[in-house]
Amino acid sequence: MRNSALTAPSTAPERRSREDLAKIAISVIVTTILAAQVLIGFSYRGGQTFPMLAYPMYMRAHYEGERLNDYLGFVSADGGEEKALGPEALELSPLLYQKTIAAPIINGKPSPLAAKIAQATCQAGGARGITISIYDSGYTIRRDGPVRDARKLMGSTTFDCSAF
Amino acid sequence: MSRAWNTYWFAPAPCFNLAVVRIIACFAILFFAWHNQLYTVIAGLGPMPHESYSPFIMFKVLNAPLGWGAGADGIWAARPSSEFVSLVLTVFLVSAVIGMIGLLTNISLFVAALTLLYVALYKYAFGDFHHTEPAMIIALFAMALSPAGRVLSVDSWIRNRGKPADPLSVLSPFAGWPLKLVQWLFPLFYLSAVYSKLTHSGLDWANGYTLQWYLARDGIAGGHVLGMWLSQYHTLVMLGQIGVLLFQSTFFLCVIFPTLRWIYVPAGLFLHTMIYFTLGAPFFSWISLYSVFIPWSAAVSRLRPRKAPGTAAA
Repeated sequence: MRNSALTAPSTAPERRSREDLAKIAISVIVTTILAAQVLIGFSYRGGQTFPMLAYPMYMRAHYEGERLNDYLGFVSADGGEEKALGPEALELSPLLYQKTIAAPIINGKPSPLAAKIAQATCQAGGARGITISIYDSGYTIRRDGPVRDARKLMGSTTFDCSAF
Repeated sequence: MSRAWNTYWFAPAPCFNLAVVRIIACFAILFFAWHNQLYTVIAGLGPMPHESYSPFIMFKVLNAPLGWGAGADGIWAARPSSEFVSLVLTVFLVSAVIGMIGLLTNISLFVAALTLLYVALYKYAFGDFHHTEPAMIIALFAMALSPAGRVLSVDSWIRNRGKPADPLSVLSPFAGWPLKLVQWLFPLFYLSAVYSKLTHSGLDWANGYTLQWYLARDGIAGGHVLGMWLSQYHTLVMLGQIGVLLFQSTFFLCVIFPTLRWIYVPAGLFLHTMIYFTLGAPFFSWISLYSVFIPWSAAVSRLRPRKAPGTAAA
């Protein structure tokens, strides 16, 4: 039989000890999160520790005369007219576009996604070869802002349609 | 030491503050999902070649129950389909709505945190890596372990059978720590940012051209007219960069000295709003989580009309 008058004195200490346990558990969580953030925030710039991360965005200094590195791909079939192929056309975010299309071609290692685009272009146009060229934005930063110039070819790759 | 620790983290605090942050945070993540068109983004990642899939360790762990397979790095954990991730996104949106109204608050906040973590990790498995979600994920997990639904919630309405107590008067020793945790995370994020800038570029970072370059690049790529316009003013941009370094390196002061929040909170809100309009970086979760610095309970108490003397007896 439960008797509140009898159980009341033992309930309060029980509640207190439960509260103390909760405080210890939360203290461990808080300490772990803050310590991990300190450790990772000042040492590791990758994403493997997500959601504990460093925040190195926009950390690179730039100087007058530097060209803007916003790259754009152009596709041409059999050396014909180049057509722009931006992130919107591929339904990719700008960052993903730069990482998976532009940068690998500039580095001479076209990504599987670039090959997939070339394959689709081959099938659609009946071409023998597809070239994807990456150009920079054509802008240079000056004291009074960006100045437009001709786009500069950063890299290109050609796919043989018969290989697909 | 132990007493000071307990006093700092577990002093009875108004549940009202926590509840307001819960509502703002849940609203913000719903807005973020809509603004970033998460369904479209996830559907777009579905056809990405398998070679582009390189998940972080935590995503592999989360996917382990789904089965095993080969990733780009040849390590375990199968790649989930974009349809499955869209389903997880739906669970996330529903739990965020339920968390906002405060129904089964702790469970819904936990589910929202876990599903947001999952969706973010899926996006990042393809290399599109950003820093917008971590603060919100940690905040949601923390609130899930707190009395975030004690007031201003359907839970409290049900608990009190439709006659909830005055929300401003409810205190709990567990109502303060999630807010203080997030308060401390902000200076750690900012110090990490300023540390990265100074160790990578030194004081040259604040040369004016650096931010002009980012403003112009992101302005042209994203069509941010304000960023493009601002990139023409070297001296103004350089002063802005010095301001950013000062703000990020000293933000911790406003956690220690709450009076300084009158300066740092508006400055931070201005900074993140400007970052959005000029560089296109949507740090809505940070903007919403700045609400942890506002003493909502005290503010509402001040705004409430006071009863005239003698009315209580009447």
